Amino acid sequence: MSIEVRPVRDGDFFAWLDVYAKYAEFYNTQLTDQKALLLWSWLTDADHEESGYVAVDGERVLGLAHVREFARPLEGDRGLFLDDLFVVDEERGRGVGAALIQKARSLAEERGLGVVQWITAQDNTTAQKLYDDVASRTSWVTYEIDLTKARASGQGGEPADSADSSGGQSATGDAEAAHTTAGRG
Amino acid sequence: MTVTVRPVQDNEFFTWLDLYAGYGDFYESPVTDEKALLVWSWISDPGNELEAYFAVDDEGLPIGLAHVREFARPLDGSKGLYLDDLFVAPGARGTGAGSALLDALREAAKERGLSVVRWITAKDNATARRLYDRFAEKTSWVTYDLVP
Repeated sequence: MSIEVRPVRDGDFFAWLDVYAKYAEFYNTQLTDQKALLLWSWLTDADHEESGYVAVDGERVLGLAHVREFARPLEGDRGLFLDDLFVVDEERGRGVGAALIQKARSLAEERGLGVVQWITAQDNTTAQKLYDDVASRTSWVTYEIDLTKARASGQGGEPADSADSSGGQSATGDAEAAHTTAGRG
Repeated sequence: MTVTVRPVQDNEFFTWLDLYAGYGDFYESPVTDEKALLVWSWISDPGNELEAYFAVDDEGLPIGLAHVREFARPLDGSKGLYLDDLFVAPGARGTGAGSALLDALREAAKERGLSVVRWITAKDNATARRLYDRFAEKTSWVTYDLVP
């Protein structure tokens, strides 16, 4: 059986959704119908920066990758960001992930992009075994200001005093910030 | 000192270059003329995703610089703001220029309905990280680079 990686196309929606829902589940993210349709509209809109690829064996979708180009001012070039990469459980270990990454690499090559870049969870060791084979692990530290969290907890403009590294601890950070606001009121 | 933040204007190439060259030196990635002109062409093109902001002091002198762009977040079904570059002139450190830039970017992102402001920094950039830790959460994402 051979693996082919190709762009997603109109008729792929339900097969793609099936795989993407598993990916969302893996990341404990709820994939609502609304979100799925929004993302599909991005992938099928040639003018939108996000594009989708599927790894297929005949009719069967084995995995997917979503990519977009991004500007790299300091390098004076552009890169390709791999937002999502997923291989369905039962197809692991036969090179599907590697084939999807290889596709991203050849896209970058064809377009003269300087890098293919992606992020992954620190504890995703299975994926990291593959990534360490094909790419370099950098030492960049990523910072995030989560604006949805600020909205949800009714926070104003004040940044929280402490920034915690794990999700569990950040809940405590929020509680403290909320307490401060209550104290002022 | 009161620091304000505003978009970089069309006629400010040389002021911008001055700050950006300092930033390039810091990251040991020299801003060549060719690179400067390319990035400036991105900034001054309203159709290009890259945007530039100055932090200016009381006298209107630019003392800090930020480059940002919106980016799609598929799994989240939203867009975020990516901070590519942030720099404060060495002589203006400690004036609150960095805070003012982060504050303005956070507010701008909020107004646009974006879900996150994200950036990366060097692990050993302790000075910057003290500031970042006040504004943001350090994530545990691991970044991979594949050079084609």
